[in-house]
Amino acid sequence: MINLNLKKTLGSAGGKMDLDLQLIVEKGQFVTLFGESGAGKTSTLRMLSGLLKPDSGTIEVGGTTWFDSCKNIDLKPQQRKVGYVFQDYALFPNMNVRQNLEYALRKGQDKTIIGELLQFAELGPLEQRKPETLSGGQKQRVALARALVQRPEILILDEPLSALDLKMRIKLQEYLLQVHKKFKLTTILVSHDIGEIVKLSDKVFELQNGRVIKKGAAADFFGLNKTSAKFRFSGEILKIHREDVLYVISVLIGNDIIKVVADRTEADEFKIGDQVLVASKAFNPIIQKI
Amino acid sequence: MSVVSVQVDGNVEFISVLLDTPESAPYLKKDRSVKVLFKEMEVAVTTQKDLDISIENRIAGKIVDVEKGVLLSRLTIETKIGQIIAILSTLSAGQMGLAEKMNVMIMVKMNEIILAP
Repeated sequence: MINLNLKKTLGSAGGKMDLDLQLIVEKGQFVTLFGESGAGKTSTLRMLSGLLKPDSGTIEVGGTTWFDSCKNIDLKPQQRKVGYVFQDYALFPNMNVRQNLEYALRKGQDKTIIGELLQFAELGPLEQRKPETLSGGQKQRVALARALVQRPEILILDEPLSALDLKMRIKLQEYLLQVHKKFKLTTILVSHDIGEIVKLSDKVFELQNGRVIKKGAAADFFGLNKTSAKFRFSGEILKIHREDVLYVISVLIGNDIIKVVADRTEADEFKIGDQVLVASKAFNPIIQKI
Repeated sequence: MSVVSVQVDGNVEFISVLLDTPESAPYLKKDRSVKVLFKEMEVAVTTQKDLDISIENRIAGKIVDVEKGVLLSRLTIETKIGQIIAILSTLSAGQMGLAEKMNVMIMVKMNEIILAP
């Protein structure tokens, strides 16, 4: 179990923000931190991994104290069993795939893990390649394998798939689930993609201004279980425009833009950028072979 | 699949056909309260009280507002269960002579009714 109790004053784009956060994650869970940019998600994960020092509070993981401002305990990042994957891969450009993984080995650590990880990630044929010759998806598999070299108990994924196209994203989502299960990890994801969050996570915490404002099981969290409608998707509002007595709302779902007609009483409640659920009865859509 | 009957305040009954069953959706239980949702565009309007037609859900009401667009018209209808918006073609609204203060029946097919626990 991860038990975070953190206080930290952060300088953000909108001025100062006081992060004041209590968060409990059960061992083996896949959880997502959700919320607007600047809500404190990445700062929270940096504090968990030891890259950022809280002003006060405690971090306990599996009964061990990693940080306690009162007792002056502050484990170094390399003493914390955390693997960190960033959106921009953060691979060393001058090293090949195998060297990137080897660089992450602890002093004196058995090297056999490298071969295992290369094989599991299907990176064997690419092990001599430099990062610049790899696709985005391949680079992210290398970054993920590297995060696993020290056999972490906690895997942190900070928007790991947001730079990838939809097809690769869906493939790597499956892969993330496999990794989570195979290595018995407690995984913490930061993502804005509701489809991705629902697919991957057991639990979601929404952060706003440095505080947890909402939490729940993923599908319940976004209200996706709250209607009998079976033809349903989540997406983001791109455009709202009036036509005759109606409003037409354009919603980005995956790579497709769909349109939903709404009454003005509904349209008034929406704004561009809102995350929405679009639903209809399973009885209504037509289906045709293409 | 289930056909679910929902009692709405004011003795109005709604019928909905769902793919869910009480096994797949535990909220489908007698006396459990649910929300009944349908789109304004799915609301049909008639001036005849007992129209012989295969539309399961009907409520009597009175038109309280008409907003006429070029192609579509938006009617606000006061009923026992509150105001209901119906959107229909301006052509139909004109042919039927729909106007404020008229008594009408509104109708919605059961495959258009979404239930939300």
